Amino acid sequence: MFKDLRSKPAPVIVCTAGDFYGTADIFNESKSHFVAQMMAELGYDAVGVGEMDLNFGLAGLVRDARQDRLPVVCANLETTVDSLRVRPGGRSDRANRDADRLGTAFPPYVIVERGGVRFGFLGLLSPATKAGRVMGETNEVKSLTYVISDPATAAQSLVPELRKACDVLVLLAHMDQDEAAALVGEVDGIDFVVLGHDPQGRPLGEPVVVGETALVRATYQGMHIGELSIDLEGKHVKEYHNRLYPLVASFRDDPDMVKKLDAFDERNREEQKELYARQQLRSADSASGASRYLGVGTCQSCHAEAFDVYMHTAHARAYNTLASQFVHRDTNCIGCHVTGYGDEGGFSGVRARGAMVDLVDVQCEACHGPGSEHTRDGSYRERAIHSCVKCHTESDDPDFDFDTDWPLVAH
Amino acid sequence: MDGHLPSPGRLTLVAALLAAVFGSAQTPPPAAAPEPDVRLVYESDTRAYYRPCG
Repeated sequence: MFKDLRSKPAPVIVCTAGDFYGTADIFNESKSHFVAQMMAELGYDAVGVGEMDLNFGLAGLVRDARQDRLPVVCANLETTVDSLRVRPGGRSDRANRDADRLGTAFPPYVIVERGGVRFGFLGLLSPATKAGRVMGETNEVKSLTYVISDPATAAQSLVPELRKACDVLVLLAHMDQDEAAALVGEVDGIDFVVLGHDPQGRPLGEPVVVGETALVRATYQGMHIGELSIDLEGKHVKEYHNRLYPLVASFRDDPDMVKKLDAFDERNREEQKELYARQQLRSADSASGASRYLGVGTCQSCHAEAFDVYMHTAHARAYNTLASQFVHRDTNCIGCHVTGYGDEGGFSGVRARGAMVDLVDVQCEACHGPGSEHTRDGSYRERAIHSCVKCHTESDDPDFDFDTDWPLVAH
Repeated sequence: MDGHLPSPGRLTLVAALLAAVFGSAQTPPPAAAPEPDVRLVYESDTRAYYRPCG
C-alpha cells in the first residue's frame, strides 16, 4: 500500500501514534522488535510512543530506535539514565536541544520537509494509559527507568516555538480522545492530532474538529491505515480529506514483505518452542498440586448432556484453529482459545505427560470460571452469561450477537 | 413477422430515450479526485498483531 501511495505524484509522509509492540510477555518480544525493524524498512517518518512500546522496558525501545534509526518522538517520557537518551545525529539539533532541556529519552518532535513544506510531529503519551507494566522473563516487575510527565505541560512548553519552526504541526497523541481534545483546547497551533490508544478499537471515519484542530484515528491492531490528503495554501493547510483503508484479507500483500514475514515466522517458531519448553519447566516446578481449574473431564462426570453439546461446538476445537495456522504459541491469540490462560492454575501449556488436567480449547471453566469456585446456588451458571464479550469483542468479532450466537452453544 | 419488428429509426429513438432517462452506458466515469499537495498516512495502535489468530 505504501508503495502504491508513494508512486503517486504527491509527496507522502508516514507516521504512527504508537503501540506497535505486543503484549508484555516473553513470546512477544522478538515479534515486537521485528515489527520495529519492518517499520523502519517501510520508511516511517515519525513514530509516537504508546504504553505498549514500553512493555519490554525503555531500554528495548531505545535499542530499536538506535539500531533501526526509527524516528521515535515523545515530549513527556523523561529519564535520568544517560544511556537511555536517544539523540539522533544530523537530524535536528534543535529537537535534541529541547530533549536535553526537558530530560526526555527521545527527541520531543521531528520536523519532516516535503515539497518545501515543513511538517512538525510532536509526540505525547498520557500517563492515564497505565504505562509501566514491564515484564521480564520471569514475570517480575522491573524497576522503571522513566517517568511520564504531564502531556499538557510539555505541549505548552514546546508548541509556541515549534509552531514557528514548521508550517504544519501534527500531534501524535497516545491518549484518549477526550484528553486530546482538552489538550488542543488549551494549546493553540496544532493542525492535526493523530490519536492512538483506544481500547475499543474504534476508527474515526470523520475527523473530530476541535477549534482549528482535526483529530483522526485509524486503529486497530493495524487493521486500518488512515490517509489525510492535504491541500495547502502557501505553506499552510487550506483543506483536507480523510480516508481510512481497511486492510482486509483481500488487500494485496507486498511480495517482498511477505517473504520477510515468512522468514521471521520460521525463525520465531523455533525460538518460541524453546521459550515454551522453558516456561513449562517453570510451571511444573511451581505447581502447587491444588489446581483451581479441574478440566472438562471433571465437569462431564455430572453434566453429561452439556458436555455432549459442548463437544459439537467450535469452542471444543478452538485450540486447533490456532495450531492449524501455527499461531498456537502466540500469546496474543492463546487467551481466547484455551481455558484459564494467565490465571492461577489455568492453561500454561499443552498437557505434559503425567499431568492431570488438560486445558486446551474453550472449556466449561473458560466461561463459568475455575471449577474450584463451583456453587450450587445458580450463580456459577449465571456468571457465564457475562463472559462471552471477554473474547467476542467488538474488534475481534464484530458480528457477535448474543441472541444469535448463544443458541450455537446453548446447554 | 416483419411487421412486428420495430424499425431501425424507432430503435434509435428508444435508445435515445432510455439514455436520456437512465444515462448512457458510454457515460465517462467520474473524474478522479485531484491529487492533493501532500498525503499524510497515519496509523494508530499498530501492535505486533501482524497476523490474525484464526
